[in-house]
Formats: sequence, C-alpha cells, structure tokens
Amino acid sequence: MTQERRKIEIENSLFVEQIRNILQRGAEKSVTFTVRGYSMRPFIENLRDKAVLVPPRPPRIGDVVLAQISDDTYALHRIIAIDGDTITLQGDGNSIRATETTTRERIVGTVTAFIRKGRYTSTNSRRWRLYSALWSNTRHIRAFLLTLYKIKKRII
Amino acid sequence: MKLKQQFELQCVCDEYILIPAGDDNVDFSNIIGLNPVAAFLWEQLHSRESFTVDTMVELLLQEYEVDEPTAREDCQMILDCWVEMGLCE
Repeated sequence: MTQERRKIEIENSLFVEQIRNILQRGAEKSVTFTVRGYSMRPFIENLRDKAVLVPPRPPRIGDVVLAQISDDTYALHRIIAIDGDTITLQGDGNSIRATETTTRERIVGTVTAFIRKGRYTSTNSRRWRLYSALWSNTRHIRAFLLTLYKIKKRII
Repeated sequence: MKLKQQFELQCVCDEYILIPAGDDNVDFSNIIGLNPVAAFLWEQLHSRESFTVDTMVELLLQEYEVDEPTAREDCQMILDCWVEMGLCE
C-alpha cells in the first residue's frame, strides 16, 4: 500500500448528506469542498476552486448558499430575492432568466469564503463585495460578459 | 500505538474515507481514503486504547486468507502510512 493523491467524485446527494452531517454538529463547524459545475462563473471555476460553507445563516440577498432546489438536486447559488419563506436563487454564470426557488429550511449552508486559484477570499472582504456588486449591477449585459469570459478561457 | 479519535471512518459510494469530524473545518478537498483492508483494520482498532503491529497481523490473519509474513509486511506498511499521515498518537 502506498500513499497517492487521487480525485474521488461523490454523487451530489450523498455528498450533501456528509456536509449536512458535519454542519449540524455545531455553529463553529465548517466544511471546505471543491466546486463542480460552471454556473458560478466567472468567479468560480469547475473543479479549480473551493467553497467554505458554515451552518445556515439568516438569508440575505447576495449570499451564496448550498440549497436543495428539487427532490434530488442541489445548487450552490446566489440569493437574488427573498419573499417570506420562498428564496430565489441564481447562478452567477447562468442566464438572468434561469432561477431556482428554495426555502429557508432547505438551505444546507452559507458560503463564507471561496478559495479561488488557491487564494482565500472571504465573502466579507472588499474584493468579494465589489465583485458581487459589479456582477449584480451588470445583469443586463451578463450574457455578453459571459461570452467574453468563455472566449478568453478558450484563448488562454 | 493508538488511533486519533477525531477521525470517523465512513463508506461513501464504495470509498472508505476518514473524516476529521473533531476539527472545526472539514476539508473534503483533502481527505484521507483507506483501501478495504486498511478500513477493516481501522474499524477493529479505532476504539482500542493501544495496539501494536502484532495486533494488526492477528486481526488480518483472522479475516483474510493470507500467510503470516505477507500479513506482517502489509500491516507494517499500513501502520507506517498511518504514522506518517498523523493518524496515530
């Protein structure tokens, strides 16, 4: 037997169970995991970046949360609207018409930091708040910006 | 030798992983996996106050059809790994 590094991919619903199990043990608990998918582009890139999640905090618009959005689907997306118990989510990298809904009790955890290209960025940091404000205020040209981002990814 | 108590062995999708549940932050992007033999030994040993490589060999011989020298070699390798990765105290 030797030590080796390898990637283990775990089906989302099973993985979320693991995350929930840890976060339920106390307010001081947090989990770090590698993010899959492209829906939080341009800041968060599939399998490159990580998210740090804590037990659910009172939801605020702009927060990124891990939430159940249907029986067997989970999303790590941003809160864009709160109406009583109904919470509307949207991936930064998704079309502005693509939203999901969840409820307070279906939120598994709140993101407090991202580790992007190995660099730790707290969601309280000026850098993250500036990015969030810019991205939210350019919703009308989002499709255009995302296309530019994809072209840039292909060129590099 | 004694196994550190903050690690919990879990089986997720046929993979045995050690979750450092005692830590405040559990980093799933850097987690320790065990093969089935090591997982079996971990399960048997994690609640023991102390064990040696002899204990491991004994357990392995009871569970698997393997000769003693091979079992000893494997157990020593597993134990060395565990010590190196800071799983023992």
